[in-house]
Amino acid sequence: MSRAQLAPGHAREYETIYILRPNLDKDQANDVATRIADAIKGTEGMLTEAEFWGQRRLAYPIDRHHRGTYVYIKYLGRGETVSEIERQLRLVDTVIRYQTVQLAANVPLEGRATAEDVSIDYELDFQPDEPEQTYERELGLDAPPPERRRRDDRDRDRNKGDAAKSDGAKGDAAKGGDDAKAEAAKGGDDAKAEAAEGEKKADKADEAKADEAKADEAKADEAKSEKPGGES
Amino acid sequence: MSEDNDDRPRRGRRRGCRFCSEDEAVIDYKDAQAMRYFITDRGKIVARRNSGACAKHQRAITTAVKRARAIALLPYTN
Repeated sequence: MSRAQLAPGHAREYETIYILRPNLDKDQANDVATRIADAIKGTEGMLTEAEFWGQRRLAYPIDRHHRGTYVYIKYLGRGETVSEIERQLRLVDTVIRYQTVQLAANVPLEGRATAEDVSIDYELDFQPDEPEQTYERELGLDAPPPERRRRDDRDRDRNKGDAAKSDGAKGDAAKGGDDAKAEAAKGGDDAKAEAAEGEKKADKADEAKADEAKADEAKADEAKSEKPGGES
Repeated sequence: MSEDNDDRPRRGRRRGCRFCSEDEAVIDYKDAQAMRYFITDRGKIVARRNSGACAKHQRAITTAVKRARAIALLPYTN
């Protein structure tokens, strides 16, 4: 923004976002925070806001990291404050990226929250040691390839299902034939029972013959009906 | 004939800049989700004729996208 001279008792407002390596512990994160706090204090700046954004997926890999721990700070100060903070961030190798933006020029220093009031809260959903993304994982070499379900696969499965169904139908038909035979046999038994109740022997024999004939007919019919099914 | 053409009602959107008229429409490079609105699925900055922003706010969008890219909130390419 402007490079105008700062009025006495005024400062510029800056915000800095820095990204830490994803696999670091609380102490390392706090080390960076204290370095920044010292830098601001040492250059008569004023930390006004600090936010811990936590782990985020990076839009592109930085130093082969695919995730990063974001920290956001807002402070008042002059050019020296920014250059000292950025120098410190460059020195620490847990910081993989930082960016400072000037928000406002000529902000009065009076009546602002002091650095003591603001602290970076690392307790907030701090999850260290997230497994790092490797090239093997990125290429899917460490895991079995996901099952691919394409349209033709689905179609093939559906056809297979149909085939199974028609097989079942054939089985049913065969079973039906068996049932019919069993029924016919039963019918014969019934006829015998009737005969035992006092009917004429001859009648019984005739009936039994008739039943047998019927059963034969049924069998023949079944055979016929089965044939076309077998062909299909 | 030319009169007919002039009288024809304008089709489509011909609105003013959204960021000029709406107070809640702010351009903040830190809001990665909202910033997605300003880039194409290839990661390019959406043109003014598509974003509907005025020159002033299109400049703001451009710097915001570039800042978001620098801290890996948005991709340079997709």
